[in-house]
Amino acid sequence: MTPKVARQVIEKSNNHSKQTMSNKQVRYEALVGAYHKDMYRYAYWLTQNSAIAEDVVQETFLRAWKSLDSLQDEKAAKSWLITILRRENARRFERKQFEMAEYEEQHIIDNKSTSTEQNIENYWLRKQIAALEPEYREPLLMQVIQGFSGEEIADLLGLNKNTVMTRLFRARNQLKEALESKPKNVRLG
Amino acid sequence: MDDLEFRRQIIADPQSANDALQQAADQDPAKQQLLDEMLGLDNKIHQALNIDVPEGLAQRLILKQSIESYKQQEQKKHRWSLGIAASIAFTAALGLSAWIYQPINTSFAGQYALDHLHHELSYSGVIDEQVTLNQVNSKLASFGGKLKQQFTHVSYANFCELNGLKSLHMVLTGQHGQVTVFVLPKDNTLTEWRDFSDERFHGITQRLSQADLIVIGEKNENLEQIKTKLSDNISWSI
Repeated sequence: MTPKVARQVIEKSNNHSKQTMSNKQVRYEALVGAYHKDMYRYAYWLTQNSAIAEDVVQETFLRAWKSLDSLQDEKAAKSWLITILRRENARRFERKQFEMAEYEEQHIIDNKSTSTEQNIENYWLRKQIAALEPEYREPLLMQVIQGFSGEEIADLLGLNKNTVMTRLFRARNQLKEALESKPKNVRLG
Repeated sequence: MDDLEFRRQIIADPQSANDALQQAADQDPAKQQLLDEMLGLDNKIHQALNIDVPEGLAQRLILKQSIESYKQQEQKKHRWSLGIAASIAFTAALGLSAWIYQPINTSFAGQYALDHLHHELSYSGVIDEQVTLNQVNSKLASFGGKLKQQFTHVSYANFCELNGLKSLHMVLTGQHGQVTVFVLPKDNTLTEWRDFSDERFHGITQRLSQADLIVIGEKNENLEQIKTKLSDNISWSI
């Protein structure tokens, strides 16, 4: 191979890798755009701390970027990301770098709800969700935030579908009962 | 559908109310009420879970990734340049040792002559400067030699330096192509003055008192004859 030919081959492969790189970049940014909000909300309700949630989401997307090539089916992106996120969250306990966070009340005060009534109810409900057992809360997060079906949740959590449905039933039932027994006046803050 | 099963399904997943569930609800106001209630609760849960996402999170995710990507590229570049540096150092070391051991490698007179010949064959083999006797003698003079008569055509006669050794490189015309003659000063460090050959040429050597001669020609060339003519024709001033 003459140097000229070799140079051409290298240039070609460089172009090729640049192209692959930019394709990957486009895919990554699309992934961030489409899923970062849901992932953050999921992480927030999992960790109940906004700073830790953001850390977990950062780690999740970084890992996602590193192994983006393994994501072949865009339809699987959401459950793929959730799997990574749950692993990153579990890693946090392995590292013992973070303390178990206290539920951050100030963060969840709602600024969106229009009426005070709604606001109070929302606040109350958030407290109740935060108080749910993690094993009940997580299937609920998957169902409501991510829109996963019972089968998909069962798959992600490694449980059978009946167990998942039971947990979902209990989670909602607890919230329902909590709302029903809600005191008339709840003070904010 | 019994009441319990209806409750179980509606509470676990109110959004997935299928035809059977809807039908059951249509027939029973109490079931319909539960369904409405659970859909309402679901709506509230959805709102409650729908917390604010920190501003600029998407941009921070992309930033972190691009920094990481840059770091990786730098590392790759670093590794790449380290590789280049290592191979340059290796080549340099190899070259240095080759240079240091060069006198040993080329101390064999025949090898020196063959190297020299092959090195310059590309032009010394093709040009014909039609060198005159005077021109030959002006060059031979530096060795204190003088050619009495031109016994053959001389197409090239020049001083060359190869591997730090300066010699007179002459190309004569023999019976079977060109004959190359090297005249070397006596202070050369070459050894093993004997006949030699490679796949194309063969050569003979002669050490005279004033200079050393190496004569190289094609395999079938009668070199002895040329050497004799040369040594007979050159008179040495000292």
